[in-house]
Amino acid sequence: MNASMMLESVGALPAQIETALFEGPIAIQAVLLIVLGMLALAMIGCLIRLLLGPTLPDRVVALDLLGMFAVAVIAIFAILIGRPVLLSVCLIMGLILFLGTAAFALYLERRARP
Amino acid sequence: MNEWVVTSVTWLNYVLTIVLVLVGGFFSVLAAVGLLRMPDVYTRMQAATKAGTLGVGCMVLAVATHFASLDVVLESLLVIVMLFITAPIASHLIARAAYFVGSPLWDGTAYDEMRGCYDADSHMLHNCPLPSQGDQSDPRPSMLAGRTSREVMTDDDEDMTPRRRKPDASRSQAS
Repeated sequence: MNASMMLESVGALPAQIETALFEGPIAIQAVLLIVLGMLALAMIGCLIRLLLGPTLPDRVVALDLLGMFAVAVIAIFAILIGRPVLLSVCLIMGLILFLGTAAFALYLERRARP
Repeated sequence: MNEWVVTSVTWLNYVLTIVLVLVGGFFSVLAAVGLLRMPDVYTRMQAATKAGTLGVGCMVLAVATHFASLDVVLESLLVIVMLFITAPIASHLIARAAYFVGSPLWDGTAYDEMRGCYDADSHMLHNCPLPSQGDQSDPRPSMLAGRTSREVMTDDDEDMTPRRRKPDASRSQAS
């Protein structure tokens, strides 16, 4: 019994994916699935702010936080499937996120210049 | 004895991972709630940046405690250091851009320290003295004039006066 069996019994995973997807003890897997749900809730909140943010800086802040949550999801998956190689993905994604936010900020400031 | 040490270290590893992941998830949800509920771009930004950085940092630290090997710990520490360096810079850039774009302040904002301190043409900071105590009409021009329903800075509130230190008193105490 591990978390992929649990997901399969709920119906979230197809039956072809056997127990090889997730690794580790069952308590950690359950906690990681709960935290993935919390992250999904937080990303839905970010998405709402991204859709109805009144000004453009609101949307940029929401996009920044959404990218940080994506980094967190990748870190959780690195624990869940037992592959620490995914930390490199976290690193590169954080760097690209910073570059995107800086580019948005520079664009906004240039647009505000008369 | 040796077996007992290995078992206890393994359990400590599990407990640390679970606690760090749960703390990270809690702070992530807190950041999203702050992003949704705060009234202002600047307050939203401070909620999102600080709580979000702490949440993601806790999760990457949980990766480091789960795979307790040297390369993973070093790489996750690298991720955390990069996150903690770039997140304040990015939020500072967005805040500066938001102030120049003129996104409105909250109605209950007590004090706008940057008011009139920026040159609107060159976007450079120039020297601006603080107005004297109890000065009702601030002569400095506001970049956000006409954008809030209330006046941006009101000096008649008693609770905001301790925030503004008198420069002469602090200098005499320091020297």
